[in-house]
Amino acid sequence: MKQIKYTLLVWLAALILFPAGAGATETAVMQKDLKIQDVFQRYGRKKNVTMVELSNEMLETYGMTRYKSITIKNDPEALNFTRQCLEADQKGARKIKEVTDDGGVISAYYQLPGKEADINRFVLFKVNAKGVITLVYIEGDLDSDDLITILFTKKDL
Amino acid sequence: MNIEELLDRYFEGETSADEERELRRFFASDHVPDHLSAYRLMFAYFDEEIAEGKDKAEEIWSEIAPGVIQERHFRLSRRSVVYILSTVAACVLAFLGISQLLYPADPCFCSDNYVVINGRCYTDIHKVRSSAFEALHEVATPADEYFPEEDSDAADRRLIDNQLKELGSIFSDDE
Repeated sequence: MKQIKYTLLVWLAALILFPAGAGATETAVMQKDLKIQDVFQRYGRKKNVTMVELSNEMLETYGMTRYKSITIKNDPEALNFTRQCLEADQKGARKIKEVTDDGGVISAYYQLPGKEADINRFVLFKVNAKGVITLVYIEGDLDSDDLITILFTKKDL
Repeated sequence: MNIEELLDRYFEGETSADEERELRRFFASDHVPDHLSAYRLMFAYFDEEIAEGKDKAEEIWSEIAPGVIQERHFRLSRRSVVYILSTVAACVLAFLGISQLLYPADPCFCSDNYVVINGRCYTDIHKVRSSAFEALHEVATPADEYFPEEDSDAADRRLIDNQLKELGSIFSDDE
């Protein structure tokens, strides 16, 4: 009887520990339903790449809960990959604004629904004349007008 | 040694385990003399008990001092607990090892705000902020590219304004 009790305790401990471990890994993968997360994961730590992540109180004043951006220089393969990811994520978007040049997207703005009703998610993309790719992911209760204000106000975050 | 002498010693409680085994083997055989056949049943019973795995000594002890047996049981359980805990610890370590392998630890995992430049992680808040701003500034292309609908009116207005100016200048020239 005691052994059964201990076995039950062991299972309980395992059940408590497993979601904790899984949760830790889940936190690392924020926008896991979006394909652009692969861009951050694949290129985030490479040379000529700058990846930024902001969250919590630092973004509160802007109505954001998460900010993530990546800037990739001199990598045509990364540009192709990013465009593929954007094409996949575009399907679930609520609003889409794109500028294409020679058949390829050079700038994009997608507004995607969040997991909660009052949460919006934005994907911003641009590749400049020098081939520098910039991809930004923003999540929060801000709307597109708020985002425009942030984008066109030359103010530090 | 004679089997009868052995039997006497058995009843005196002087036999060893081997001798008792020999007695049981003897009474289980077909060579038991008639005058000793009465003991056959008794030894058969002991054999049966042993086969069933019943520990007579334990039974006796449980009658005499039940606490002693309980303590013995507890000792066994404690050992099982140690085994179980060791197994759990090994499982947890294995789980952590595997998760580390599958999801390598993020050097910035302890920070909510960070910037990774050329593979190196920085958590200096000014560096993080300026890097974020640079990226945001970069994607902030002119509004007519991002929001053609909103700005088409403005563009149209600009066009109309220019045309009106031209028209105005024509009129002024005429004057």
